[in-house]
Amino acid sequence: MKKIIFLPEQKLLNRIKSNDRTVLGELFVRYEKLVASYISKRSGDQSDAEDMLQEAIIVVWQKACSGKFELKSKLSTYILAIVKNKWSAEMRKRSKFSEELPQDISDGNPSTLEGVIKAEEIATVRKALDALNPICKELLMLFYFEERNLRDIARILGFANPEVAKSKKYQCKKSLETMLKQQTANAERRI
Amino acid sequence: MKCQDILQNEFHEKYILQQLEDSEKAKYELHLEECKDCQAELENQRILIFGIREAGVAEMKNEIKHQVEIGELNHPGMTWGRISKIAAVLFILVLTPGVIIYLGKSNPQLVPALEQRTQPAPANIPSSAADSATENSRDIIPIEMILDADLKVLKNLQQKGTVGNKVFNKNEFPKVDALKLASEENKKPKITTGMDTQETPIRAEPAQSQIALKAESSTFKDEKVAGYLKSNLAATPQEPQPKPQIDDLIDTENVPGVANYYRESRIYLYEAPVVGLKKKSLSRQRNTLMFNMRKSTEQTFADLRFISNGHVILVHLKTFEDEAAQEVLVRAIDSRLPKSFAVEIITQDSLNLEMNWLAGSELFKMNPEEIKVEILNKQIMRIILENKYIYETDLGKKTNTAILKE
Repeated sequence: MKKIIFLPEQKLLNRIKSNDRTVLGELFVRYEKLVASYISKRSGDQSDAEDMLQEAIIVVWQKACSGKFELKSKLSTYILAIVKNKWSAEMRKRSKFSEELPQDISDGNPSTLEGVIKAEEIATVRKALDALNPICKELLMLFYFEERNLRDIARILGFANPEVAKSKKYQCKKSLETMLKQQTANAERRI
Repeated sequence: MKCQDILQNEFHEKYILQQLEDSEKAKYELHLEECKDCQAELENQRILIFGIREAGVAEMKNEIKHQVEIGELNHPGMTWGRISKIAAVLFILVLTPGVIIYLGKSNPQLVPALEQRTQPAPANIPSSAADSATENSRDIIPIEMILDADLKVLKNLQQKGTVGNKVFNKNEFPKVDALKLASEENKKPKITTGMDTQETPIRAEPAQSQIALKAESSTFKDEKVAGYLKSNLAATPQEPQPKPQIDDLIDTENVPGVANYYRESRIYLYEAPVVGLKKKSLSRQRNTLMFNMRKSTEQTFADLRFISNGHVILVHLKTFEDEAAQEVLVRAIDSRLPKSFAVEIITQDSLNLEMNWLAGSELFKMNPEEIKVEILNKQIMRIILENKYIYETDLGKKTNTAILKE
């Protein structure tokens, strides 16, 4: 569908609340020049700008979904503020990384090793999540990632009420835990 | 505090999500210092939740990227796509009269034949699209449909005979059909949502993915005996219903005028016994098509929710009469589907909307291949399943009728 005019910012937020995910691309298109201009002036390239904007959109999405968000300034100001913070953090991380680069992962540095192990564990969770029943995956995403309340989740997934959503969430989490245990056991058996 | 209480009340999770009261948190932390099992469990929960969040971030980033890649239409302003469309139309507009005049001069016998093919466009195209709709809008494509990006250009052309500073003779306009043919390839607005998989290439051209979806569906056709439709007519009240929760999905607070009528109905699609497939797996599957339609003094809404195996697809149709936004928005909400889902708009103006709803993924293989939704004159919504069944709701009469029709 062709869209010629941009919707007002409040409407965008309403669309996020209603789980209209088509707004994601629109947000990106809307603010890509703004963010690209900011990042390019601070030694970043286009892919940095894209990454920062994507992360800012995700923050906006999560805030709007959690119901704790009230737009007091222009959305562009808010997004740029997030980008500024994230870019500063990224720059700090990069300078720290370049200092640590000569060291080897296997040097016994606990922070590096723990990081690798954590990343592996998180990857295992993601794998198990993909193998989960789609409705369960959706539900867990809505609750833990988007931080939506149970009432919203019930409405989005068509459950009768928030209590059903709560009990489903519990079951789904248990399924995920079981699946993770199985995956871990299988991996250990292979070793 | 005991370990059992902590597990039962999901304190580990609440602690990570910072949902514990101060007093509970203090007790929990005190217990945690001494309990190694709980420390381990807390760590497990932390990894679980961080893993879900990481997955969410990765999926959302992919989704943004995907939407930007396929959704260049959302770009405001002039793009090469638009420029080429405008150029194509202007080229035809300018060239066709020129060719007619040239041929007329060089061979007068050709003129009558050409005139038959190129009847002039209607003398006065209404400024409001509300006046332009016709019942059989599939056959007569309104001028607004020809090139929606260039609505203003065409309207000026029809009303004033001008494009920019150029003035044309209205009688020399090529027939609408000629324009239609010229822009037909670009004309079908289409929205594709969903997390595409290997079977549906992400960068596929819209027309190609549509064909692919159809082909994918048709492979199941032989195995399938047509489903039958059950609607809950008895449960449909004659008076407007109180607004259910689905209302929250739409930003009603920004809608001018209070909704006058409200309808919500469900159509259950049960699977008929299928040869060659296990009956058991089918008996548990029930797909629901829910829709509601509301009419306010200024706008009409139709929301459809298609629920299949727990997946929810919501299409929000909204007609505007405000001149600033003469468009119909079709939104497929919740695009976290494992495979593609497409909405094809066949005809559209501010009064009528007809669209095909194609669902060609594994999830929908037992569903009707096409669900066609028509909204006629802002008053009647029809749902047609595989050209066999029509479910109709009339807001004016406040009645719902189901017509089974071959």
